[in-house]
Amino acid sequence: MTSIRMFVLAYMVFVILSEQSLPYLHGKRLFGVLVPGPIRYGAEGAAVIRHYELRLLPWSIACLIAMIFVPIAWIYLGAGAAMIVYVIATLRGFAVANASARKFAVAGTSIRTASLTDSGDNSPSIGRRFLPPLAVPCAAALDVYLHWQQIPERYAIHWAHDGTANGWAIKTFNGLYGPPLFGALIIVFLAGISLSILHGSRRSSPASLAVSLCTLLAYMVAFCSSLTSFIALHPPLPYAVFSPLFASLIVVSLLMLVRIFYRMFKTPNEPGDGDYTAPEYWRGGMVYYNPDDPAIYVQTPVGGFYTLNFGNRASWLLLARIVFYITGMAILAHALWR
Amino acid sequence: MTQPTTISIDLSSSVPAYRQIVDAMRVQLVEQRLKPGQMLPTVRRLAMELGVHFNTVAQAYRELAEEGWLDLKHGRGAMVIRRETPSKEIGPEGPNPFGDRLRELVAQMRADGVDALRIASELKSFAQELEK
Repeated sequence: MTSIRMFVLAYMVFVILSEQSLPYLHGKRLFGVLVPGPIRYGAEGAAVIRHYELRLLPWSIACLIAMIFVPIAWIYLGAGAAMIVYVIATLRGFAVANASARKFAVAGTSIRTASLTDSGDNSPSIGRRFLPPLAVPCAAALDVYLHWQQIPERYAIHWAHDGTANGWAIKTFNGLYGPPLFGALIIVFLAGISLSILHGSRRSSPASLAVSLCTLLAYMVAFCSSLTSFIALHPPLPYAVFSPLFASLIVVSLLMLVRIFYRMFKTPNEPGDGDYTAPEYWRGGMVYYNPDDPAIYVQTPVGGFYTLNFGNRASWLLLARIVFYITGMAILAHALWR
Repeated sequence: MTQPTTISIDLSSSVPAYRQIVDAMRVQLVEQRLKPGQMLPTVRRLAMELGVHFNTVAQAYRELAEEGWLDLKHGRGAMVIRRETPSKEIGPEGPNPFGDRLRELVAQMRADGVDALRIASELKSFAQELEK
C-alpha cells in the first residue's frame, strides 16, 4: 500500500471515529437536546446513540472500502467525494437522532433576562478600530506613487539566510498597487463583518473578542499587503526587524483564537445557561430559524458555536454581501494578475 | 459597583411579551431602581437581548412614555424622566379598583397552582416594604 493511500485511509479513519464519537462529547445533551440525566445515560439515550451509530456504519464501511480500492490516480478525488458523502450522512444521522431525542427533552427555560443599561449600544467605533490598519496600505500605495521613479525595473523580493537576494520581481503597475488595494479591500471586509457581529449579537456572546480578532487580522493584512511596496522601495528587507514582528502577530492571533474557542466550548448544559434558544426553532437540530428574533448570530445548542439566524433577513443580506464581495475580489484578482 | 438593573420575561407565558416588559419596567421605575435621567437600551438592543421582535419593545416603550415614565428621543433612545404621581384618593365607600385587581391577581396565581400560604407570605412582606 502506498504512503499516499495510507495517509488518506488514516485521515478517513480519523474522520469516522470523530463523527462516531460525537454523541459522547456533549455532557447532558443528547444530539443537542437537553434531556434528564437518567435518560441521557440510560437505556433510552443508549438506544438513540446506537441508532445513530448503526445508521452511519454502512457509510463508514463503504468509505473505507472505497479508499482501499480506488485507483491511485483518483485517490484525492475519491477521498474528497467520500468525505462529502460521509459528512452528508452524518448530518442526516444527526437530524434523525435530534428528532428522536426531542421526545425526552426537559422543558427548557423560556425566561430571558436583559440588562436595562445603554452601555453596549455605543459599541466601540469600527472606524477607530479599522481606520489605522486601512491607512497602512493606503500610505504604502501613496509611497509607491511618490517614489515611482526610484523603484528599479527589477527588485529583490526574497533573500537567503545570509542576506543575498535569490528571488526577483519586475516593476509593474499591478504588481506594486495590487497588494495594497487587495489589503485595503480585505480590511474593509473585516470591518463589515465586525459591524455585523457587534450589532447582531447578544451581550452574552464573545462578540467583542471576535471583533478584536478581526482587528488583529486587519493589522496582519495591512502589514502583509504593504510589504511588496516596502520591499521595492527599501531593499534589502531586514529579516531581523520583520520576522519577530510577524511571529508575534501570529502568536497573539493564535492565543486569541484559543480564547474564543474556549469560550465557545463552554457548552450550555442547563436550561438558562448560555444563549438558550427554544428547540422548536432549530430545524434538524442545526439550522436556527426564528423570524421574531432580531439576533443575527446565535449560539448553537451543540458545542456552543455560533451560527446565523436564517429567519432574519439581515442574515441573508450578510451572506449575499459576503458572496458578492468574495466574487468581486476574485474577478479583480483575475483582472490584475491573469 | 452597583449591579445593573435587569428585567426578565417568559417567552412561553400566555401574557404578551410587551405587557411583561411594561410590567417589569414599571416595577423598576416605581421602586426607583431606574432613576430620572438614566438612558435605557435602544429598542433594537433590548429586543436583541430578550429575543423578541423590535415592535414588541417599541410598543412597551410607547406605553411607558404615555404613562409619563419615559421620554422617547428619536434616534437617541429612551430616557427615564421624573414623573408626577397622579393623586387618586380611594374613599372608604364606593368602587375599589385596586382591591379588585389584587384579588384578580391572587386568583390568577392560585389558578396557576401557587400555594395560598406562599401568596399570603409574599403579600405580607410586600406590605411591610410599602409601610417603610
